[in-house]
Amino acid sequence: MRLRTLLRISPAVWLTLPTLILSILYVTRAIYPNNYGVAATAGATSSMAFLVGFVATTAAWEAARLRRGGIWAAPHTRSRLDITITAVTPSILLGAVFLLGTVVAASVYGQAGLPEIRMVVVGFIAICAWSLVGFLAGLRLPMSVALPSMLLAPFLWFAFVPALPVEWLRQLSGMYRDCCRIRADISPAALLAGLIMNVAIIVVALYAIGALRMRWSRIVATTMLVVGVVISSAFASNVGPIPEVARDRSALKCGTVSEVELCLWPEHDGSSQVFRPTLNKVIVELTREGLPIPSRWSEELAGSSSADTLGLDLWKSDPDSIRWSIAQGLAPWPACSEASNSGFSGSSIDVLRGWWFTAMGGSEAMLQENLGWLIAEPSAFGVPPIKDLYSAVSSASVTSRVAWLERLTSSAAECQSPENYSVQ
Amino acid sequence: MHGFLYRDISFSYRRKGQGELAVLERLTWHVPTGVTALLGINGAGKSTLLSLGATALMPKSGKVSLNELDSRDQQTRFRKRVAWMPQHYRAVPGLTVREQVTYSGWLKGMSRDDAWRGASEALARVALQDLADQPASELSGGQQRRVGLASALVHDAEVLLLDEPTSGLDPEQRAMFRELLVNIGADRTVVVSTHDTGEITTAYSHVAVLHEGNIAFDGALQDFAARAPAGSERPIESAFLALISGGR
Repeated sequence: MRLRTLLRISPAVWLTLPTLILSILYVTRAIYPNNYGVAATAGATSSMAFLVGFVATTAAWEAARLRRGGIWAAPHTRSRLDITITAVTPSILLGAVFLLGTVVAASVYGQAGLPEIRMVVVGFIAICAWSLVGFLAGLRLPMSVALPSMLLAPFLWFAFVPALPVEWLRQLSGMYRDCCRIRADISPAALLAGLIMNVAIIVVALYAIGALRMRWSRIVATTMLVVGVVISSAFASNVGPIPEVARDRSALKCGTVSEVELCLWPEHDGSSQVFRPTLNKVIVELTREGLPIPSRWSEELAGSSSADTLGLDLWKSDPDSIRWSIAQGLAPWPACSEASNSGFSGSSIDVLRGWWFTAMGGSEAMLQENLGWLIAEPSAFGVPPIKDLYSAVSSASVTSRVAWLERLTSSAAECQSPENYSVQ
Repeated sequence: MHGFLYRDISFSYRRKGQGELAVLERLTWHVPTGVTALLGINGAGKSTLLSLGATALMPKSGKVSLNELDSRDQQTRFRKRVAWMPQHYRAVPGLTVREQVTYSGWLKGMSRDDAWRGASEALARVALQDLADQPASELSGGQQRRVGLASALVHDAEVLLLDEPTSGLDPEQRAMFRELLVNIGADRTVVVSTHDTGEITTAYSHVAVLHEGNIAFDGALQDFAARAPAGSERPIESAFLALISGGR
């Protein structure tokens, strides 16, 4: 159809601009940690949960119009496949516009660089699949049933299925909103599961529409459905709720600062980034203070620090947040705290984190934000007024300071609260 | 054999719980070039026969062919050369008259630009050019039938199968339609089904009568009229009634 005709009659075309605006608004209200393109793309694809409904509904509308015009039953030279593709193209374009719009908006808004193209491709195939499901509904069901059901069904598939107890089911949809921390990459198995499932939906929908006219189309469609469900489930069931795998560590960018090896993911390593300069400054200051810090700081091991290695979990790009992340890495929760009978309140961990943060020059505001409860009522948690404590520790000799730190760290490592917090 | 040919066609409808209703029984008909009136009583199978010719239905046995093209084996090429206007023509909601005809041309394999140009010509032929930009579904029944006719004409087919095209047309439109038949029937095969013998005029070169599942008469208009009893005021009607009552 001509563009002028589409502009006049196609709900998919009318909805393109409002949908794009809606999707961009949605994206700019989400959080995209880490400046990581993969995470930003995943966040963008989550808009599919409510926007794919428009794709399916407009395709159903188009099919209903063709049916009412008697087009479907008439003998044409154009194949049904040709007619179907032409009819659903505006709906697919609507989906493509909002998908690309959200991905670009998320990348720009989240300062995330290049998007994860594989995720966009699977998302696009999911949009194609739902446009065909919508077209099928429009052909087979009364309009009063087809339109509302097509508005609702994609929402259930994309939003309700992830709420089910079978956590891997969500990976079949082609939407990967739970992906990915910066140290992880999108799971190829999850991508394949979504891809295969949506291709199976496309083939089965085309068969049900009557657009597959080859000799063995029924067998092909049935096989595709069974094999698609089985294979995609097999892939997805190994993934779990979070569709991510460990990232290739060769991508880490490592350098040495004051004899400390500092390894960051490339997204945090750019010269325009705040991460490496802040970390460099912190390492230099802590080393100058003579404080015991690990000899290797790396984002690869986020959340799992040891005596030799600090696992950095950097998720916000302002210096205070970076300092707080370091403090968390320097005073990690001990393994014994996970035992149900440990009885460990963890106050000493928070005291330690607050001290590290203060020692790195962290702001009062951030300290208040993270430890406000402890600052307000220290006695309720068995700790002294911590600002006074920090002043006392900071004014003590280096030897006393290190001894205090080691005493608190070792008691915390054994899930014990120290007898007293005073610096000797 | 050259031309448009129904050969040994049998067709029946399946009715729920009542078995099969045979409509056509080993029907063979070589449709002549020119304009043929296909007569038959209600329920004789005229629409079925035209639907089979257009491949909207497929015969249980036998085949339809146009020159070397078999309707089943070379369906796409066959359909390109055959146009069909169904008895109950429906416009696609939302499309204007010109867009409707253009879409029909595109469905018949024309490019969008060719279909757009062809639509203008087809609309001029059915005198609808003034309504080209009106929504097709908002036209009167008679005007919609003319849109259907333009849709059948748009791709310049060799064979035109028109199912009751004049029902709903006013006398002026019927006269225009007969004039159109003379124009388009000069070099192609046109079959017009009707049960109204008053419609049959000199615009038709041939008459075929479908009766009891087969072609009971197939010949020139004059030959058909000659079968009427002497002195008949309405010779076509008389000939038709004589033919079908003789067959009972």
